[in-house]
Amino acid sequence: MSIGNIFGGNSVVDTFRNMYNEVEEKKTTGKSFDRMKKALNRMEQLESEVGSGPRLTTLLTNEDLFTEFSTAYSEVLAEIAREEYNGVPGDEKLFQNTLEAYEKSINELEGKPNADKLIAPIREMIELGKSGISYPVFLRICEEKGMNKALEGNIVVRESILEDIKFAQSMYLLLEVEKNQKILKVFDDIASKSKFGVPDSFEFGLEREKIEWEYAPMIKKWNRTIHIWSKMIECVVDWVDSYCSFAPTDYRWADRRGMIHTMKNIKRSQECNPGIFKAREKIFQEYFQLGWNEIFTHPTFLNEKEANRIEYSDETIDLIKNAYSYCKPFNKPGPEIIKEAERIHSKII
Amino acid sequence: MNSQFSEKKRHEEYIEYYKVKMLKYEDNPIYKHSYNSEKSLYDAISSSTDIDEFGRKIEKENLAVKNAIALIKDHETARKKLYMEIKEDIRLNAPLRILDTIDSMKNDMDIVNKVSEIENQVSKEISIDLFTTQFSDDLDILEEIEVYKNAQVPDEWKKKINQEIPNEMIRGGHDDWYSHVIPQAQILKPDWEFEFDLLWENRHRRLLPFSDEILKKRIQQFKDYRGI
Repeated sequence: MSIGNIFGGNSVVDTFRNMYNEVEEKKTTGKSFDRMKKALNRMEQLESEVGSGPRLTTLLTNEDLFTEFSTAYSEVLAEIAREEYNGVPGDEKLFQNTLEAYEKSINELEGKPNADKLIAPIREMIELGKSGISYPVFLRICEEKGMNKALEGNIVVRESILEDIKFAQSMYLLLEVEKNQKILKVFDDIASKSKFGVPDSFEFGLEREKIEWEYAPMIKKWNRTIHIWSKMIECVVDWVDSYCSFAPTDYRWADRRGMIHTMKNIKRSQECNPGIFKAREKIFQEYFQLGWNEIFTHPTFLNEKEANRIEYSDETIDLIKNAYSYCKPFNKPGPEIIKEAERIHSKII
Repeated sequence: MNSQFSEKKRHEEYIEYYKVKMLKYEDNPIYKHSYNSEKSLYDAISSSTDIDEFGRKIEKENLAVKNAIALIKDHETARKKLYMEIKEDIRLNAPLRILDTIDSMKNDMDIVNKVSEIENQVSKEISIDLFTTQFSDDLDILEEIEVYKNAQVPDEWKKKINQEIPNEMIRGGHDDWYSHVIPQAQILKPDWEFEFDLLWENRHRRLLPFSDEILKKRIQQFKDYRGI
């Protein structure tokens, strides 16, 4: 028994174990089944050696075990189907197998996320199948109503996009909101122009990939901008606060080795932060051609503020705007700056 | 008589089914091959006197396999168009290779196996290509090294700030590179080395939000940081 089985972990191998168990239950034999078994054994051996992390996926990919298993599995299923049909399949047998497959998929979906929504259209198909109509009529109605798309999970795709929009809105992720709204529009457009009102999942997948591609550099730039100005702001705040009377008891400089080291940390912030700040400011300018003052009117800053992700109060932001002109190598903040920082701090504690 | 009637009805019902399948793809520019293939099936069944004759036509003309091939050709042609448009050169390999070989497929298992083999191979190529993102993953620390190396500080702090801190980061970068990154990449490609040229290819370059001048500087810093 593999480690994945013992601990019931969610290893990538679990899927293949389930597929193996499924055909083993049918007392399958033969060369393809042996190949499945051999591929699974090797997967489980690697799983026991490296655990179920990303390294396992790399190793399985490298040894082509996914392909080897899946190919053998397809062959086994084809053999089973041939044996079951025993020659030319009749409509009744095909119909029965189709409905059984749907029943089985319901069992597999039970307890999984969105199970109710996914199961409802499948039940509808089963009911239709049992309504006394013939197999070709059943197939035609499924095509016309796009019911066969139910098994692809199409029913929850739109809802999941709406959820993505809602989440991005709640997190104030402006570009993500915009991106997902575009994805939703594409979904609706494809659905509206399709013959039977059901969006083609392949076509939608391509359009979605294109939109994701379009937004990727914008999102990278947006996040990088925030990353750099956050560090600039933090650097000036720490510099100003390091001159305040509360600095020796503040966690930012506290040192377990004792007060001598704490005071040394404070001295380092006082003397080094302006030089560090200027180096950060230079990178910010080089990357985005933006200066210090432009941070506070930049869409990234305004959005972070609205999202309540700026960890400093408006007073502190105003204070560091004023402190900026002092923040130069070998310089100190003016006494009025330090006094204001102490006043703001006294309000917090 | 009843049996004949029910067979005729069954035949008519299948004709309707194949008609719906054909119409599903009508006028859809993505599914030109599939429309034609479904039309062949529809023509075959509607011109047959019964289902058995239709079955013989399917077998003789290999229509079921041709139908599967048509759908794959439509999908892969659309993927090819997208990846060419967005210059995703590695991902493009999958549709190109599938389209190159799909017409030679004679049965369904060959199709499944070949497509799966190509997808797996390209998936590996994508994974190898994605090791290039190690560079963008390192941007935070490359910026930190630059900041600490260049910060203008009093003499008392120069050694600590301008040397010890960046050097410690660089030591960590070397260790991680040779003990984790390279062994992981070489599982997929035993002779893997970081390919700096890839950074200039559109799929990677477009994700680095700064000028070419800065990229050149960061590449040199990356080499120092990783000991390459």
